[in-house]
Amino acid sequence: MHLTLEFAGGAELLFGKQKNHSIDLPDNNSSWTIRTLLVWIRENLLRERPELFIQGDSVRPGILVLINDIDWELLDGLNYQLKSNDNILFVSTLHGG
Amino acid sequence: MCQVNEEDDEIFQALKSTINKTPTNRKCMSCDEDACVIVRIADPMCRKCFEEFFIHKFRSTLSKSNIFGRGEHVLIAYSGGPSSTALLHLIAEGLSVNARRRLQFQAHVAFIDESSLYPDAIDIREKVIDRITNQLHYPLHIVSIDDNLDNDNTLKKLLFQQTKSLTAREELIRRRKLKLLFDIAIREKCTKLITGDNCTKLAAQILSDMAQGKGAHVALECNLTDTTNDLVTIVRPFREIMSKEIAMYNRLNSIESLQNIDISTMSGIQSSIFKLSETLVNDLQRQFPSTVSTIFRTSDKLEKNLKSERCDLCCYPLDLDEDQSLLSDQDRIKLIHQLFDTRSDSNDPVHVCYACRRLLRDVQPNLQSNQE
Repeated sequence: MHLTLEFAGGAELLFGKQKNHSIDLPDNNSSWTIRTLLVWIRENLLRERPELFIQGDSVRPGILVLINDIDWELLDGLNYQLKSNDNILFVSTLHGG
Repeated sequence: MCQVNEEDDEIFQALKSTINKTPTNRKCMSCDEDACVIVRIADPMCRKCFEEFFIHKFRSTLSKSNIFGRGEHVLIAYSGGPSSTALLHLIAEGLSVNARRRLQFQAHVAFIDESSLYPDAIDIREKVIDRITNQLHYPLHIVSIDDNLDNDNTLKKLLFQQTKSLTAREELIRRRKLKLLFDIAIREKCTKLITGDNCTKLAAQILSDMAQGKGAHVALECNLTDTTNDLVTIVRPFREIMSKEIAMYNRLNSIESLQNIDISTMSGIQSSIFKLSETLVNDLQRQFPSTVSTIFRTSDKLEKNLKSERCDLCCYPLDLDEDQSLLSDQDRIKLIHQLFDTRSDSNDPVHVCYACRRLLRDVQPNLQSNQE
């Protein structure tokens, strides 16, 4: 499944300073959710300091998640089922990224 | 006695249901369009209503009680971050010829170049010049954070070799930046200084300040208009706007911030008092969305009787008596005169408030004293 991930507000510093990532998730039997995407990100994209991005099974509080420019709180949050070509934006509103 | 039997307690049940409420209604609260963001406690809003809400909050805050005089010279503190970039954008719109109830002041922009402290902040000066001078055409005043010091290494040495903790470094930089901003404003005859401090950040700042003994000043720091300095009034139009709302507004309008690096970038979530309190505020806010506004509104009421003299380090009114606030350590007096006092004689006595006195304990005034 193809997705575009964007990181902003300082979050990009944890991903090689790259703001845009075009990724392809392997197809598996169960569909992808934000929760499983975060696990994938942690294992495949996060270059350093995972605790600055992920807390528990969610993102660190202070990081806003937008799915196709819509607040993830309106879309089931961690349980949102990803669709092909979704755009997920992670903006850090914390100081110092 | 004080025992909460959860099943019986109605208030507790009501509170729990508020926390667990997932907004199943995805329509905007004002019109019937699809919502794109949740603001405040659990209010869904569509893009159009959200932008109106955001801009309205900003404009009504500014036009309350006639803050600005017609043609008044106003200095906008620009850091390159998301809040101050949104601030610039909104002010530019408010000043434009077509604006409804057009803003009537003369805008200047100040940028403090900290790139000597952070090697990663490349080209920031050029980007700022491009945005302010070439695109917006406002008078831009750039000052290096090492401005007026003996050499470019003085501040760097002070921060990285002579200061023990990240907390102390953050606090020193914060005070130095405020001092520089005041200096620019006075030099350019600007009577107001507008900052992009948002509600979330201010709430974290309030808790952090209290933890460092600066509780006397929290009521002043969350004021819309802060008359701490006689000559320059600080204005905080974003004081009721959350960092999430700013991030959303920037995204919807493709407003890019220029930099996000500061002294505590990439440091751990418990590496300084401010980072701790910021983490706390954001953690709580996630489950209890009225956290920030509660901290804020409470601090607003914590007024303290303060002296009329100012602290020479942080510029806020002294909370100690004159004899208690007088600094006696010669080395530290020299340090303050060098970094924070651009005009007065270096033999003048130095007074500091309680928090700044504690801050100075974390700073070694000169390296020789380490050899004893």
